[in-house]
Amino acid sequence: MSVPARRGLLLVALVLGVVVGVHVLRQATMSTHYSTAPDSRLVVVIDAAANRSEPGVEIADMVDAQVDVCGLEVARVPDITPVAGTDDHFTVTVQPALDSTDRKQLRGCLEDWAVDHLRLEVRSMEDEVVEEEAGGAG
Amino acid sequence: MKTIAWLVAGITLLAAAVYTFVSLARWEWNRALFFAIVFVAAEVGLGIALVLRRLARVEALVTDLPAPDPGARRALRDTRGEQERFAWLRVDPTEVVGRTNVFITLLVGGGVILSGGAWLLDKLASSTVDPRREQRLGRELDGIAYRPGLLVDEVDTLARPSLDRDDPRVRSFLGTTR
Repeated sequence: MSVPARRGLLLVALVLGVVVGVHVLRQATMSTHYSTAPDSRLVVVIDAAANRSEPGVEIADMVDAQVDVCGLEVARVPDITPVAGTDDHFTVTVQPALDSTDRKQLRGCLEDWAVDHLRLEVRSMEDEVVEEEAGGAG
Repeated sequence: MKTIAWLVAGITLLAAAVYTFVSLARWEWNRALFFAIVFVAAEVGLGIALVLRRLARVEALVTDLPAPDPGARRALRDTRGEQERFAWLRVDPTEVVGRTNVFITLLVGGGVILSGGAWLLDKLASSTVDPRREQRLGRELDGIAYRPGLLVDEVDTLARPSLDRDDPRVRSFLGTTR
């Protein structure tokens, strides 16, 4: 293959790679919001770990603070309840459930370094059917 | 040791860049900011290290250069022509189109600063570029300098404005008679 032909082929491959790369990046990062059912609910289980926190500050208080801030990010008022029998596992419930982009945003916010001395890790993020309304409909 | 330092800096730069993008993709703003700061710090450190390394090489090259002939340098310095300062400010009063320099000075009001900067630059250039150029020229002149034992020495040559063909010694040398 001649040198100009090889260069042309390389250029085409390069342009193709850039186009595909931009498309993939766009798909991976673009926010796509859609409405969810009012009775849908998202349950998030988080593990909390505190390191050298201020005296008198409970881990639950710090979790409250971070989860409240993250609620503002996704325009929801989260309901936080400690998992029974543990002091560092919490269940965060938001209703209505979040769309896919907001889920990513909530997970990112929860796992971000927002509150000093606190690190949260999202264990699970599952949709839950509201029992009362589901039962009433049936 | 240096290799390890370069390697660590490079890996830090790369890892910080990757983690910045990963954190951004995960909506983790604080983490992204932290890794971006690490990236910038590593980038600045690497940049400074590269510049210093280059400077050290240039310094070594300059140190190894042979010293120029002081006589040639002196002669060049003594015969250096006078430079016309602020020639760009001189305006022909009959020319209207080319008065942009004065126009800029008056309109912008920063002409004083501009002129000061230009003067400073000119002084800096004349104190750095000219001696440097003279040094280089001195070294080049050394290559064509008269060597001892030649037929015509430099004292004789410099004493004459041109070759005196009427000189019997020259005529004898050239093999011409008149």
